[in-house]
Amino acid sequence: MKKAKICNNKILQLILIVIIVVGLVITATIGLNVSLIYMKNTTINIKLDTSFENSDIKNIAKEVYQDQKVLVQKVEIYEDMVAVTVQHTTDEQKQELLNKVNAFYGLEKSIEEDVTVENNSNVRLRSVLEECISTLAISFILVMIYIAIRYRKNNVIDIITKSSVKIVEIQFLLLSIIAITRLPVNRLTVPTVLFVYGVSVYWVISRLEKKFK
Amino acid sequence: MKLNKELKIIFITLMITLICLVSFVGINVERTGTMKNLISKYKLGMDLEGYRGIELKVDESTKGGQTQDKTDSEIETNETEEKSELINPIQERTTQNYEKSKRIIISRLKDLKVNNYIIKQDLETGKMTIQIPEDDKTDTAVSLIQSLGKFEIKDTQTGEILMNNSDLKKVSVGYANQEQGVSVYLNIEFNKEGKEKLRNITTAYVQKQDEQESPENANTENQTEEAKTITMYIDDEEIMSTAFDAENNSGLLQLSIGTSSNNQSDIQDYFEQGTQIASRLNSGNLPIKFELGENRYILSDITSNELDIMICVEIVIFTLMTIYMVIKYKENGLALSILFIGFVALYLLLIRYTNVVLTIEGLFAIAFIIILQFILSINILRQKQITSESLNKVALKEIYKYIPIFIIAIVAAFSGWSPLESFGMSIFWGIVLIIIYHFIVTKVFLKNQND
Repeated sequence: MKKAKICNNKILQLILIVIIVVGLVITATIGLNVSLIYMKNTTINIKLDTSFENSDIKNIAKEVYQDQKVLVQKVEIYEDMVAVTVQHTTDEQKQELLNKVNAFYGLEKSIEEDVTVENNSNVRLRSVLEECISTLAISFILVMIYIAIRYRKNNVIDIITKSSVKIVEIQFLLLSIIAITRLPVNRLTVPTVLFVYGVSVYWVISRLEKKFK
Repeated sequence: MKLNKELKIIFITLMITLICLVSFVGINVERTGTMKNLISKYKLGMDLEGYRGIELKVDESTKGGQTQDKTDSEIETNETEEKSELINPIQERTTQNYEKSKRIIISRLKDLKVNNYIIKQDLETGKMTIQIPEDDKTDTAVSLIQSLGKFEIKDTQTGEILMNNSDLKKVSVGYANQEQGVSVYLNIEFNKEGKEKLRNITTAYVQKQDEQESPENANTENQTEEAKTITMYIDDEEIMSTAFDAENNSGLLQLSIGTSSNNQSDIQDYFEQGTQIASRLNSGNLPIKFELGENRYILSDITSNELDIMICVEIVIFTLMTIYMVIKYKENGLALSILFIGFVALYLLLIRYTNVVLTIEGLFAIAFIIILQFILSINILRQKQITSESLNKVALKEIYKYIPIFIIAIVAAFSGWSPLESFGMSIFWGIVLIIIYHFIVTKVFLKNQND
């Protein structure tokens, strides 16, 4: 029974290592699947001078930019201007978008007077993640110091090694899953990383408490 | 005695009901014909509420103030002359300078305590799109990020540059109490080279005492001496013209900002002005001059409908948690469910009144705290007998597990990056509340119920 459990654990560890390695290889070669807000994109600002729903504009934009991700935001305090962000656009697509918006709201807006286009560069993921990584690193060291003090009467080095491996392994596993499944790296990525970090630390400490106290 | 216990249980239940009503529904009163909720609103971060989108473009204008919008033939004929007149000469428009500009802008935003920003930069054109939170600092930030941060001390008469940014070490703002009130000072500290230059300047531009004592004897000579002054410029704007009373060996120049005042608001204004100048000078001179393009308030793409859906999902999960407790642990489960709901209501109130700025990270932290409270409730319910001792024991065990989470929360809360601050602050207050709530509410309620 015990042998079977050890065997299962080893298989599980092997699977985890394979997933992490594959994830790292994908990240290093293909890169992560970055969401629209972080990638190079184009924003089409249309001055509507009327109230509107983001969902309506999004449906119209989806008809024009069928194969692209679309982001719709209201602009200015009166919320009478819309910013449609897409990966890239052509003059024809821009005109088609305006025509459809005009038809939907019964407007007579023109490209020259009511539409502006901004080409935006990408956001470096490194700059998004670096604040998060430094915080995680500092807190990780402090947590390890706490573990060393709390379980000082036991084999501290072994406990710290195993605990840190588990926490780091879980983070790498999460990032590998994101890379392998091609989940977009968006505004939910950092909160998810933090959440999983918190949960993994709590889980590791719970196990240690159960074992040693 | 039994009546007393029942009264305690009824009192706690009523208090929880009241807290739930206040937290989930609010206190609505009629004010000027409309209903107004007296309970403080959640402070939302940039990702949930909206942001200021600022576009900074490399200034294409010439020193005469004209934008370069000429035809190809005109450019060809005047190419050499035009290049020399450009505010941003072509040779200065390099990737290194664009990146340096970005670093300086980040430093200024940090100085101004703008702790959430997204900067997109096109390294070919130098154009930057900056997203910062919309609050009372936003307009100051907009003016600060596009200013050059150029510091110069010139000879007033000849225009010769005597000192510039390379001589600066550190610029700070300080207060001094005087008879007339509080004065705000800008302390300009120079580096080793700057200190020596300042000493030379203050020697050369100093008014001699004997001349001051006998002005009638050396009238002509004195006029010449007095006329020799320096002018200080920040971003090509004249700050002051002066001569020095004595030689300055300290390497420190102190400039007063505004006048001495006892008015707190005036002092605060002067201090902010000083802080802005200090930030501009400390972060360095922008190698490229930028002009402001689009400057708009952009609402979050996460609409209130989507937020409602997220809240509904959380309510469903939360309901399932309470149902699980009731079904599995019957009477005690019901009691813990009521306490659990009360905890969530109180926690959401605490988030609002501790001014935690909620971002998506903060929402995840709230979910995490609710899970921790749920685990604590389940651990209590797993006890064979709920007594005062067993409740203390369970709480103590959990507190040991909370300590590392508390460490993470404190590090995140002091990170200076608002999404992480939101995460850290939400967890910090959550853990504090879990512990206090356990000993003040849960323990009293369960003890009275099970005795």
